Amino acid sequence: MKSGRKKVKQQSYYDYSMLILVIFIVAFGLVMVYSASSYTAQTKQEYNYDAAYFLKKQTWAVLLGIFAMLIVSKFDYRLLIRPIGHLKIRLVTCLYLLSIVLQIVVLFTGKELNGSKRWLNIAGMGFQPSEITKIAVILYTSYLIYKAPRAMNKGLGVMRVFIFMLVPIMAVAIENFSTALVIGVIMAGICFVSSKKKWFYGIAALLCTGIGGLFIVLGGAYRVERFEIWRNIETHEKGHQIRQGMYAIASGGMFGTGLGQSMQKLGFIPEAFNDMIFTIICEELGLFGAIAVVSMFLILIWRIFIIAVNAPDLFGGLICAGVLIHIALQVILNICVVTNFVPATGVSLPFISYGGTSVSILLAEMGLVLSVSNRIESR
Amino acid sequence: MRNKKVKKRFGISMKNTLAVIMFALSASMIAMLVRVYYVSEVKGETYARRVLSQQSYVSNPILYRRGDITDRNGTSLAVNVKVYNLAVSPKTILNDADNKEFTIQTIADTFQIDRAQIETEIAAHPESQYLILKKDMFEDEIAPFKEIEKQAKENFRKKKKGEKVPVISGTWFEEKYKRRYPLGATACDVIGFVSGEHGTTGIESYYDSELTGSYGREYGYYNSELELQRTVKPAIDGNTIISSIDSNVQAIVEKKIKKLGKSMGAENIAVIMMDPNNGEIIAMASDKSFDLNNPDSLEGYYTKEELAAIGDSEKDAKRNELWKNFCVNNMYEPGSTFKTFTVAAALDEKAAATNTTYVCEGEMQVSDRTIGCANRIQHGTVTPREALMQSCNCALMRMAFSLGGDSFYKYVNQIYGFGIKTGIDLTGEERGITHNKDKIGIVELATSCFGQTQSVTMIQMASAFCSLINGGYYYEPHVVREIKTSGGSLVYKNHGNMVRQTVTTQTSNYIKNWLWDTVKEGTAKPAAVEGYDIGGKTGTGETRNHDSGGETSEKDYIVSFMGFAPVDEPQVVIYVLIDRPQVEDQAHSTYATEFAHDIMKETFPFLGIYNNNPNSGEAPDDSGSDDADDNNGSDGNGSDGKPNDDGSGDGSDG
Repeated sequence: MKSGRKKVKQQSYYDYSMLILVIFIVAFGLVMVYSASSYTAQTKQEYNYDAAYFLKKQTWAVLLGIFAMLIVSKFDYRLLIRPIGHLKIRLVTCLYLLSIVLQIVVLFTGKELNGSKRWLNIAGMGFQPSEITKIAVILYTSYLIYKAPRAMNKGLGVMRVFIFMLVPIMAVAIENFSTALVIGVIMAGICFVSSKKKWFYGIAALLCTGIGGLFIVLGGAYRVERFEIWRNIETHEKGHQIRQGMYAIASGGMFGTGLGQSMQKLGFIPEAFNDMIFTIICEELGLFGAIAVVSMFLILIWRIFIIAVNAPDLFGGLICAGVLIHIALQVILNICVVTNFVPATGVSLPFISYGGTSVSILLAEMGLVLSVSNRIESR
Repeated sequence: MRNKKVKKRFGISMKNTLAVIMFALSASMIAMLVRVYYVSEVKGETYARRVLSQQSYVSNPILYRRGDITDRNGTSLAVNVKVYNLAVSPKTILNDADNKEFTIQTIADTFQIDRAQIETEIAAHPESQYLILKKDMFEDEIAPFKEIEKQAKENFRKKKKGEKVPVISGTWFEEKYKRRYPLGATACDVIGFVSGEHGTTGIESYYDSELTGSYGREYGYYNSELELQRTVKPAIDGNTIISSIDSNVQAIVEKKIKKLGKSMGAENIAVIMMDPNNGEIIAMASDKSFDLNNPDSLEGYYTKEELAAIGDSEKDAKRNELWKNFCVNNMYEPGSTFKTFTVAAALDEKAAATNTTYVCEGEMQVSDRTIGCANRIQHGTVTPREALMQSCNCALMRMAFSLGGDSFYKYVNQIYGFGIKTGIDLTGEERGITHNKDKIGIVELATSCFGQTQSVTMIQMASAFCSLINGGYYYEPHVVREIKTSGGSLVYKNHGNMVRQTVTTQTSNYIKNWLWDTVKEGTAKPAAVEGYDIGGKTGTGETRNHDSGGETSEKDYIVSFMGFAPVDEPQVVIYVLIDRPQVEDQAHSTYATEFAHDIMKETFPFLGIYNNNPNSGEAPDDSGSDDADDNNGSDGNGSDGKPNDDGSGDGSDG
């Protein structure tokens, strides 16, 4: 593509409305993280009794993420698929390989938390490689399709992409099934967009459901138990977290108890600032708050959609499609889990849940979308 | 790249597919909102009830204790007592028919409040959630009520189905700490008082952030097994402040001030005693004292009838006057005590030597006016030593002229620190007003060298004087020695902050001995206390009435005495000041000198300053004052007659 853009660059576009929306959402997220975490933080010695312990950590991650977003958005996203210097390798390939390496490293040296090895310690900071995998899969899938778009209309071509992607996805799945599921759906979604053979995906989806079902049945007591909890949420002793989350939603009513007034965060919902933060939003800001949050995400994915359909090339369009699916999927899954619509699994609410790696990487992804928007030529 | 010619676009079918996906995802999100609605509204009732059953939830702030204030010997000056208010929610009580009767009856019984009265008060505020029924009770007064409340709760829990067991509802106790000052009015200006949560004056205000702690919080809830889980974030108590004040000495000083106020009366009487070796204030008092436990009360100053007659603004003005610390917040023209500083400066700058002589003719022509010496006495030929001892204005003027305006004002404004704040750790310190060396003439120089036409504060005078007699070291004056945490570990200690060297040690030694001579043989004789080596200087300054346009009155005087003891190793500096004594002829520093004598005699034993000759009794003539050499030369204003606006024309002496 490098020869294709020799024309005088016309006035380029930059989606400021989306930038502002994203910053607004992360700022709202910080407020909610503080509200949901201050009690836990100020009553535990491991957090120095500092009410702002989590807020501070999250703020640094957000600042880093916003910085990354602005930098990424100013670069041409097509740099990713140009060969580096005279080497034959491309940045996108490097990222793909790096994500696999990190995922393997974490399997052996990772820090164990809640029974799973998901954390790498780099320069004293905890870091979740599976978040890198998300962005790597979005980019590499888009790149593979971009290289041979027509192949996506044949079964073999699609299989090729699947096989490439199976490696990182399986690597994630060993320790973190829900994230692997999210990544898999994003990958399948991108393929679905680019392919003309839609029926193929119907079969694939059926197959996956079958395999998934088997996986659950054969996956040992752990996964069966999850199902048990889901079905008997009000009585099962391990349903405590979700149950308390639903109590929180119920306590909120239409307009909530007021910002900072949640009672369920006071020791009832463990780690209320993580995946369960949506329930605290519901309790403090009510159904009204929940509608507001979902509306923000709806507007956000609408903006991403607009950028995707105006993208200057296939690669950019597919990146946007991937990011769109990523964000929407996590929002949906997260709310599904906290309202006990699906069995409990760890999916965070994008931009809002506590988690430094997640928010930084998400912001970097938004940077990619902004970079695509920057290449749209005004006509 | 391989496909250079084909521009790969995000094709129309892809766009359509993405649109479908987007709409599907959006629809799912909206569906999730429906799910949230389902949980919150349809299941809401059931869940909300369960939430309530699991949460008998408490989140109470835990009070911190404001730090105590003690004197240098550990005597408490300010402490806290825990007191309780009984608060009720009339709305809750009225709406809770089952428990209303029991609640009101229990309150009436345990707190001896008339039942009817409670009912009227509650009925008067049916919508209110907060009403205080009884204030400031101690712990043992509320214990019986708490016991009944607990018992009722226990019975309620054990009750059988259908049975009615009343509990106490809609009442609670607010606890708070109340600040108490065990010594009442003693050291009121230094300690200050607290209004609300924060200090308003004195140490309470200046060290407010040290004294204030931070609230803790207690959280509690019933877990799924209905066990009460409690987590406590402890409160952090304020730090304890150890003042340099000696409450014994302070009490004696205040007693003496009161006595003098009764027997003679004056506009203001004030005393500072400080340690010249580190700047610690040992006692600081004025006659405008007030009870720290009841700072708003004006009872000591007005009768009940008078209080009823005067308006609120007048009361406020009076209160503000009382709450002021005269020693720090007021300025005045110091008079002859200031001569010590001029002599020291002249010696230090070699503008005068110990054997330089000056001729005093009883008055002196300066520019267009004649400035007189004390009572127009002709002192004849005097040395600097004699000039101090006799308080000779003429010699002082000559000394100031040979020192020169530049040098003189360098000493006044920079070295001695007049016109700038001393940095004492009390609020609202006044700067004083001194001449700017660029704008003054010879008349101002002539008058300010013996302490007129410039305004200073007592603390400036005392601090600078300390440096004259301790070898020349100016210490920042302070009232706080140490700050400790509530646990007793040291946070801060003031070892004495030496700010600058004012005069040389040699000059200091001369001044010390000459002031000793002044007490032994000079104008300050009445200050002498048998058995102690005391040095000092008297002062009689004309004062101006600040309310009436700054005119210096010819009949109003501030008399003062500034001294130290013992001479060879000074341990205490005393500065007493009587503003406009209510006597026919005010211009006698003897009032101040005798007053200082009284204070020194009684306080020295407490300060560990011992009598050289313990067997000697009371000196028979220790109060035999000699007024003659102490008269003021205000009538020496000579031909000029009318005082200037800045009052520069007046010579005075003490």
